[in-house]
Amino acid sequence: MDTNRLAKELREIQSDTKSGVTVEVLGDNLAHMQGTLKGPEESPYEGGKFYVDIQLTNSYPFEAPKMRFITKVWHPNVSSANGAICLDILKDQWSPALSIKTAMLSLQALLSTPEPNDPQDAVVARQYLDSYEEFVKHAKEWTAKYASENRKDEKEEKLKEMGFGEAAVRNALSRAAGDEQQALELLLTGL
Amino acid sequence: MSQASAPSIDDWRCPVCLEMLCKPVVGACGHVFCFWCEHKSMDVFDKSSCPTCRMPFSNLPAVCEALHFHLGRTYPKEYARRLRECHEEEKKTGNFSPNPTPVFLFDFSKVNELLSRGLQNRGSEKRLFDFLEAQEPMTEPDMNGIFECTPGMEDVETHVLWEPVVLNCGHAVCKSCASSTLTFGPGSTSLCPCGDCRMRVVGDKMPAVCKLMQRVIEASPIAERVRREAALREEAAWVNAETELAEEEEEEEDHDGEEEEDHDGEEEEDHDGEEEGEEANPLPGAVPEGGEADVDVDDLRPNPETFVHVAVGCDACGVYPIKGRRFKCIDCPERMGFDLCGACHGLVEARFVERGPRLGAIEGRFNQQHRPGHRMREVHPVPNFFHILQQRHPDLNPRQIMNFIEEQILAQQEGGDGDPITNAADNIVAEILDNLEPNVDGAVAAEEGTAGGNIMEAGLEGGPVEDVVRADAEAEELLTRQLFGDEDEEEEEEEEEGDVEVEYLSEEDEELAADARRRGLDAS
Ligand SMILES: [Zn+2]
Ligand SMILES: [Zn+2]
Ligand SMILES: [Zn+2]
Ligand SMILES: [Zn+2]
Ligand SMILES: [Zn+2]
Ligand SMILES: [Zn+2]
Repeated sequence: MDTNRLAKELREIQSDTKSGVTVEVLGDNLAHMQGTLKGPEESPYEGGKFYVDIQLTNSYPFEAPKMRFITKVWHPNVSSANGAICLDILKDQWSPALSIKTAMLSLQALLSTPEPNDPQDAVVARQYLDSYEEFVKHAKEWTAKYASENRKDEKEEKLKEMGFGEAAVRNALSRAAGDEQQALELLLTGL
Repeated sequence: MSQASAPSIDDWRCPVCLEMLCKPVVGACGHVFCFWCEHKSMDVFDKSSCPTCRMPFSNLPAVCEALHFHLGRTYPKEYARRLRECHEEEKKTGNFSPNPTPVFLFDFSKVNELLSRGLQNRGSEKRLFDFLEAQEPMTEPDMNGIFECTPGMEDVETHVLWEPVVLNCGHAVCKSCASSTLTFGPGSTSLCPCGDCRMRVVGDKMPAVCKLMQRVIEASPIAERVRREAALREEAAWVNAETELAEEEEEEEDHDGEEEEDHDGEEEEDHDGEEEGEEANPLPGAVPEGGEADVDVDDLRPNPETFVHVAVGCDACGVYPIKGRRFKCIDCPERMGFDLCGACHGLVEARFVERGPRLGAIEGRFNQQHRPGHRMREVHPVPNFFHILQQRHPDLNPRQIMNFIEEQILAQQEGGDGDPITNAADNIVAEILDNLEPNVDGAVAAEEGTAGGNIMEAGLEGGPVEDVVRADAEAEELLTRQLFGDEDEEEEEEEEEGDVEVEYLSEEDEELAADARRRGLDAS
């Protein structure tokens, strides 16, 4: 893997605070990262913060990064079961001139403009095409339930009340992609 | 015409590695990448597409000397650092890129000094980098030394480039010179007009102008003069063409002082080829359209005219992979091997006869020094795992097939029962056999046990895949090396240094190779 390029990419992402996209390396393994993106305005995902699991193969950047939503998303091109994403640039339309950041931005754009005719989740796509209003309602519910930043603050408070330090709580929650139970486990096992 | 500012150091950043370009190559769309970045971006099995604009292309371009020299002169320290990095990488892989002769990098008063220090010899890269690093940057581009067009027309003198298009051999020609002297597309017999290059002009259409190079030219102090001269040449060429047209009673075209009409189906590239290139015409010898969806077992019998030599490129025209006939040098010692496509084979043979032993030598894409007297052997198509899996899974792209094979091997490794490579190979064979209809040609099955190493080599490294039959042990050893690190490799290479490394095709060839070794010793 081209670690030089990766370091450059990460520096670039960190210096950019406007795009609403973040990427962090998890632990020592450069090939495993976690990204977050803000739900686009005027979409059912507005107000949400979505966690994305990013894995690189040895051939990166000559092979697309493997990306998957960790946060549950109700979207025609995202599996509601496992977060798998159907997006051409993550498959055969990948080019080594793209980057992790451009891929994250494309995911963000995908949230705004679903492609129901090339679905990852057939059920969601069907609903999107047949009863759009229900789809929007469902997607908003999921955003509030699984991707809400406020919810995250609540969780943070709860864990802090249990006696853990603020930094540790934040770190654990971020590594657990906002999953309270998993964050608690991380805190308890001291990992 | 908008006045461009000279490219800044950031404009020379490769879009793939994000570093300063190193040994730049210019694609047919005019986009520029490092030689190795472009090579690694290419599809080992089929047409590639430009990382920036996705325009399809089939040929790995040679290093563009003009840009290479320009970078060396303008940013000697940074460029020396990049060349060093690149060379260190190359030493790890054992595959090298050419080092275009550096004597023109600085003014001609330095030529003797450079020659006396032997700087342009192979093996003296370190000294070259040191020399380059010690130079002061030049503040103005060397228009006459570097950005020169040699169109090879009787009535046109050498001049400074204007709107340069870069041919596949890495040489640049003005767009208007190219359109009046060269033909592009299937059936073209044009050769590069620059100096003693004379390589085949390939590609589906005329390359787009290299905007980056044009910016250097437009920002130079003599830009205005160059532009005027170019306009005059174009006008002259235009008058000529018009006369011919009148004679031949061609279709009428409205010339309103605009540029040439294009005979070559070339698109006007006003925005840097940014739009998607249309699906290009197949090259001669390319796999014909259709017949892809329905896989017939009969297709597994290779057709020599259309067979894809996975991950093997032609060292003269750069076509990658070679489709159709393929010839391999059994005397070139470089690890990458030296291969030619059917069309270039004849041309190179003729060149040897014409120029004799010293001047006829040609430099391969990977700096192989192929000389007259070297013997070429035709490599007969033998399908390997890769071809078979591709046939079985037309929905998978080559990288996915590579992943599939890799996964098989990793799965076996984790299982820990027996030798992982043998088991993985067995699994893949089983998978293939499961899918094959019973009447499959016996020849296919016979090859399967030996081809694994080749596939891995292709996918993990983009190196050559030899279609020759290896002994099982050899293939396995190669697999091990590719998958689990190169520790043994260096030793091995040192042992073999100076030796002639040949893929044995048969006992007969083994004899020939031994003969080559003897002659190699005699020659030195
Ligand atoms: Zn590069
Ligand atoms: Zn391009
Ligand atoms: Zn040339
Ligand atoms: Zn010219
Ligand atoms: Zn060729
Ligand atoms: Zn040779």
